[in-house]
Order: sequence, then structure tokens, then C-alpha cells
Amino acid sequence: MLGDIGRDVKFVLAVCDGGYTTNLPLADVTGGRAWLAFEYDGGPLPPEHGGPARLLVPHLYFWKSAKWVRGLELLAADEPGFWERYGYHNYGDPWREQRYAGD
Amino acid sequence: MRTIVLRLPEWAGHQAGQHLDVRLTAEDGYTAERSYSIASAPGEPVAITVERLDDGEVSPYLTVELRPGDEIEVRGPIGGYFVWPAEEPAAELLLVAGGSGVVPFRSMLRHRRNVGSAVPVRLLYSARSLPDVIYRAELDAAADGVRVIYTLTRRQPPGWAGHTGRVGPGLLSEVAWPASAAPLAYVCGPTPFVEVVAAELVDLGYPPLRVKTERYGGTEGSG
Repeated sequence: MLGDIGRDVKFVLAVCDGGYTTNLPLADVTGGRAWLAFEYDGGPLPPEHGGPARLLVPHLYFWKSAKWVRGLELLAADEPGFWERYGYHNYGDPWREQRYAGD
Repeated sequence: MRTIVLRLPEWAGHQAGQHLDVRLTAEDGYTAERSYSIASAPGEPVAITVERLDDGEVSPYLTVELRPGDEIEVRGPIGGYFVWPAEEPAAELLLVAGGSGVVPFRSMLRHRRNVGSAVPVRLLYSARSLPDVIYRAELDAAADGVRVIYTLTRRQPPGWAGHTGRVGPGLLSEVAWPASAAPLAYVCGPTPFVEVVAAELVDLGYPPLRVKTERYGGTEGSG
């Protein structure tokens, strides 16, 4: 889905129902590393699991797998999302235990 | 339940509602890290209140083994979302606590008193029984403008004239500030409790952005 975009796009900001946002480097949502999920078990993704559509980014902490995605903003510069602005790590690599800012 | 006061010479201060993380390291290097809401107000000696969980990895140590003078690893403060800055002009404040979810509210109430705030507060505190209520003497002596309403869900003392049963639509519509007053609500406790209460507040007309939640994880029922 993100195949044909400008070369100055480096980051993505997921914008969701209720105002939740989360940011990711473009490299972390391309190349098969992430999904936009809208179906499960043969049916539409249920609302309690983020339907109609959610991000699924298995290699990062799960607050990056935003539910109820309304749009993806393509950005040249990084912009921290909701939890990233409230003290949580900007990237969120669980293998490096990047939970909080400064980890 | 145990309230632990910590001496943290490098503590940079905190806001009411924030938490800190405690990390224990075993001799073999195994570590366990858990978050605890800060029970003290900004400016007071940093304190946490820990509930002993039978299958806990950290709480049994903190509530039983830890002695004055012992050292533990702490990081914080953490969390900029579930905070109440008393300086913010607010309408009425609604605090809904399930069990140990009352801990961050103690920080908020002490902060409110310390800064001389006159913001009207209602604290709805759900606990299993009266002995399970923490900070009871302090809450019963709450400052002017603070109203504490208990609901005891499992056992009540003889002659109890207060509320019983879980926090539901009936109790909330009776106790919560009317939505028309544009109140600010904080809900804290076990995850199922928080999700039920937050949804009910929205049903009562509270805008979702005016209902702040802190989930303590787990699937145990409300207090």
C-alpha cells in the first residue's frame, strides 16, 4: 500500500478514532514488517480488536499497533504521537526494552 | 497493603497521578520490574502503597521482606497523561477508584490540599469491605470540598448505611457530577473495572476526552 510515495517521506503518523496517534519510521511499516489489518478469521475485524482497521506492527511494543486507524500521515520529519508525548519511548523496540523515553 | 516511603536524593519531583517503576534483581541476574502509583503529593517524601499479590514477583518482597534502610532500584516519575495539575482551572473533579486504584488519588487529594485548591471533588471508592479501604482515616478527615463515597461490594459492617455492590449506572448517575457541569473524571483500578466505569461515564454524557483512565492490568474483578 505504501509502495509509491515520495522520497522525502521518512515517517508515518497513524491517526485514529478518538484522537489517538502513534508515530513510526517508514522503514518499520514497509517491507512486510507491518500490516493494516481489517479481517480476522474470515470476517471483519471486530471493534474491540481495533476494527474496522488497525495497525499491526509485531516487532515493536504494542502501543504502536494502533487500533481504529482513520488515516496514515506521511511525513518528512518525525512527530511524536500520543504516548510518545506522555513519556513513552519514541521508537519502542521490545528487544531493547525501550518502554520509556530515555531507555 | 504497605505504604513505603523512599529517600531518593536525585528525585526530580513528580506530578500527582504519576507512577514509578521498582526493579528487583535476583542473585542470578533475573530482574522483575513493576509500576506503582505514587501515593505522596508533589513535594512530599516519595511514597508508594503496594498491595501484596499472592502470585506476585515483586509485591511479596516489598510488603514482607523490605526493611528500613534497604536499597531498591527505582525509576521515575513516569507518565504524563494520568496527572492532575491543580493549577489547571477545572470544574468539578470526579475520581473513581477500584480497590488499590485509589493510590494516585491520594496523591491528587494531598496535592489539592497542599496548594489550597478549592476545586470540588467527589471520590467514589469501591472496595471489597471496610478493612480493605486504604487511607481510611485520611479520607474520613478529607478537606473541605472533598466528598468521599464508599461502596463496599462483598462485606459490609453491621449497620452500614452506605452503598453496596459494584459501581454501575445507577450509582454513577447518583454520585457523579452532572455532565453539564463539564467535570473532569479520573478512573483507576483493575482493567475490567476501569473499562466498565469509563463507558458508563461516557453514557452519562461525559466527553471521552474528559475521562482519564489508568488500568492496573489483570483480570480480577473490582474491589
